[in-house]
Amino acid sequence: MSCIDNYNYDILHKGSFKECAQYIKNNYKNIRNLNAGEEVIEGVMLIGKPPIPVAYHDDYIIFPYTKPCYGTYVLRVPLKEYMQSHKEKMNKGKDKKDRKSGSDSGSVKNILSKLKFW
Amino acid sequence: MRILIILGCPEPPLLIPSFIYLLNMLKNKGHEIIISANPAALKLIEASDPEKHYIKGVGFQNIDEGLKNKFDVDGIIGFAHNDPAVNYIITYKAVYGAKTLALVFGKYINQEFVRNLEEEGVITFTARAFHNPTPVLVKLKNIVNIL
Repeated sequence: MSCIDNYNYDILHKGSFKECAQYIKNNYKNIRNLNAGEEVIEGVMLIGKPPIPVAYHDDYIIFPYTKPCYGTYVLRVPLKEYMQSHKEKMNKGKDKKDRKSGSDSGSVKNILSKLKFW
Repeated sequence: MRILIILGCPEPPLLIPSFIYLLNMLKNKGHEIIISANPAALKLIEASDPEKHYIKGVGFQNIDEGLKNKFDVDGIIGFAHNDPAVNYIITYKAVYGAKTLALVFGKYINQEFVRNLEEEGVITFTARAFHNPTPVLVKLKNIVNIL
């Protein structure tokens, strides 16, 4: 399982999602607006009200990250790590495709196997 | 119907009892329930029902994992009392593409939360409550009726 702890991130700002989105818009030029739920780096999904600004500056990727109890942070992750995670994702994607061809009938079973039940 | 319930930070005292009440209502109607919640909320739910009278057969997952493991659901119900919960509900609606209902509650109703949810097509209810669950329970009955 991967999560934000696997990356060397810096916290640039803390606030509500709106404030964090505004912070990125005010401080960076190279911005892409992405949708909620898109995977920005491996294992980290974008959470918030779209359009969600994601900035690229020098060798860093800057995006808002939300924790349920603590609010939203603007995080800066080195692009090198992002590239690595992206490559791993591409490789995994290929593996998955190979595997999927043989096991399409078990898709419902797979969904439930990801969940735990009381 | 398969219903996904989103619980964020379990800080408000009424959250877990109200959730158990909602779970009971939905199970009595024959719905299949899955919970996406933060780990502390999951532990509180487990601790509230040690003999698993209510939570037996209920699926659960971490709130972050739920965004990665997408599956088909017929409806989403979210509890929102802070900014992150609103963002999670909006994101779940975008990822799952199902009919989404949210209950905004708290000591004071933040109209910005309501506006943000409604702008994203979430059917929003409000209840001014933090300790006493009664206003929330009344709204939950309305939510279950329009599912």
